[in-house]
Amino acid sequence: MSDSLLRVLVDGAYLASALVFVGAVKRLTKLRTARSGNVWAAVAIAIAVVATLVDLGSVDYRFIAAGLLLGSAAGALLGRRARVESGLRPVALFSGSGAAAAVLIAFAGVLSPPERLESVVSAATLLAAWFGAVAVSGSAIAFARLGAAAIEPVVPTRALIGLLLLVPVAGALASTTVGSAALLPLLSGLAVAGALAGALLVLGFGKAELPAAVALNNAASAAAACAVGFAISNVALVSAGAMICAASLMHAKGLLAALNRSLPGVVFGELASKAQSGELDAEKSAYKNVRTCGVEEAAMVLEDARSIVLVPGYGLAVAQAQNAARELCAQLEKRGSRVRYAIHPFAGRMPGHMNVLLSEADVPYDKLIELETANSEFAETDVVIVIGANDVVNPAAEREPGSPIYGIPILQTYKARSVFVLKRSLRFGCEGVKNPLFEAENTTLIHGDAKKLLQALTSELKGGGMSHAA
Amino acid sequence: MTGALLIGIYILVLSIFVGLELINKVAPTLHTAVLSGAGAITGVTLLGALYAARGGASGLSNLLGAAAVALAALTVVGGLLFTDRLLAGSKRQEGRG
Repeated sequence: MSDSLLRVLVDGAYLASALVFVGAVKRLTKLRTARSGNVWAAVAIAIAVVATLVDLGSVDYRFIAAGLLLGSAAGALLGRRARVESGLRPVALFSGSGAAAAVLIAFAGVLSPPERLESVVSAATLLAAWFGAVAVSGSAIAFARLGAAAIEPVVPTRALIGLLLLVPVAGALASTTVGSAALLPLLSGLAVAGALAGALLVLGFGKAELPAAVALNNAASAAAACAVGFAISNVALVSAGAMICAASLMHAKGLLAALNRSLPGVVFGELASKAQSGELDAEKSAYKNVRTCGVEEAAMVLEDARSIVLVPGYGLAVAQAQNAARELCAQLEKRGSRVRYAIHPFAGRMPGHMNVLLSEADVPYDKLIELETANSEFAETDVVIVIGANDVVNPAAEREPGSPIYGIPILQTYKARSVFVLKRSLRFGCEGVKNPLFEAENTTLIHGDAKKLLQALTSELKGGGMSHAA
Repeated sequence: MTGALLIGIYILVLSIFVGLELINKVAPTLHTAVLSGAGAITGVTLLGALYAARGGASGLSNLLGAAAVALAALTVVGGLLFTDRLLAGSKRQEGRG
């Protein structure tokens, strides 16, 4: 095969791959096509990989084969074993791993430079290392904070962040003037600066905002891929990297908009600085006026309730109480009550967590109501049962401008006639703020494990059915 | 090289515009899966890793390249498999919805 024909075939494959990438992301965002979108992504990457291998021609394949084998095996293992309930943690891990690859590529490139190093190549290599390092450390911090690690948000000063953003620009410019001997120290410096920037960036995010941090890490990782593409003149890499970078930035923006946050606001710590003062106030005042009751009293109120709304939260997931919730609903409906579930988009550990849990428990989709619908109906609701949710029902988000959660849309359960809160303890939610709902006059707390309480309520209603009818 | 760079910049700019349009609205249940899918696609760095691991360079470079191939392959394979499992969960709901 002639060289020019080969070139046409390879470039044609790159173009095909880019088009499939576009289709893949488009499909991923829609419910009906999401799963096929994922398959499209796999196809797009496969096409690009094969084309790149053809493009490389006959080279020493030992390192490539070893890496592919090892990485694919580890990926297959982790991809299959990672618990779906852990949500975004595996995502942070995978994103960080890809970013680490970009950093290694940059070092490999600088350690064995070709005879004549183009200034574009060295600048792109340095940028790849910086963006890669941002995503590596950002993902590591996100991974830790998405788990149990209680790392308080740290608010970096604007000046520091601005400085860190200038570093890669300065570094890339410098690389075009310095000799290749100075490239390695420059690269190392940029990698360290990037790691620092990534860590500071993600530390500045509130816990509820972490999904957006994951999207930003994806964007940084994609930017690193794009820079690598420039370094090796691979158009498929440039295109896929740039596209995913832009798409991930938009996704981060969208995720933050759902929390009434802006991307620059969170990155530069505008709201977060307010948050800290609020947090300190909250720590000082523990709960004083809370009313508690037992399952029997709660069941009595439920017996007379016509409309009931359940608000599931992270506690439901922890207690695996989704089936118990469905059984309670069935019992209440048997008695003629109207029961629905109000779903806050950010309830739980990851967006959509509650939808997944409840669908696992075969709760019909039409029983789930969204934030706006729920808020318009709470005033006519007799009883709200909050199951292990905290921050998503915290009125402080509406009333206390100093609170770290201020501005986040919440489920306005306080409007309902009476509210039962099922909780194991009066600990603060993941944002670490006090919840005035718990001290409200129409709120009653029931202490205990969500699953056991729901089961107890169900059996109480079953037993009490006779007396009610009589 | 300047010609190649120019083409690269063309592609960069156009791809950014396409990317900005791609994620406008995401079904609320899909946020996690989209994050996961996008993360997996960032593993496309694999193309660069293949290039870095093509041999012929110094021993250390080759080893770094092989490690990069492994890490990027982990991202792609693991990310795609995990995304599929996330979507398998929401698929059931869509059937009834």
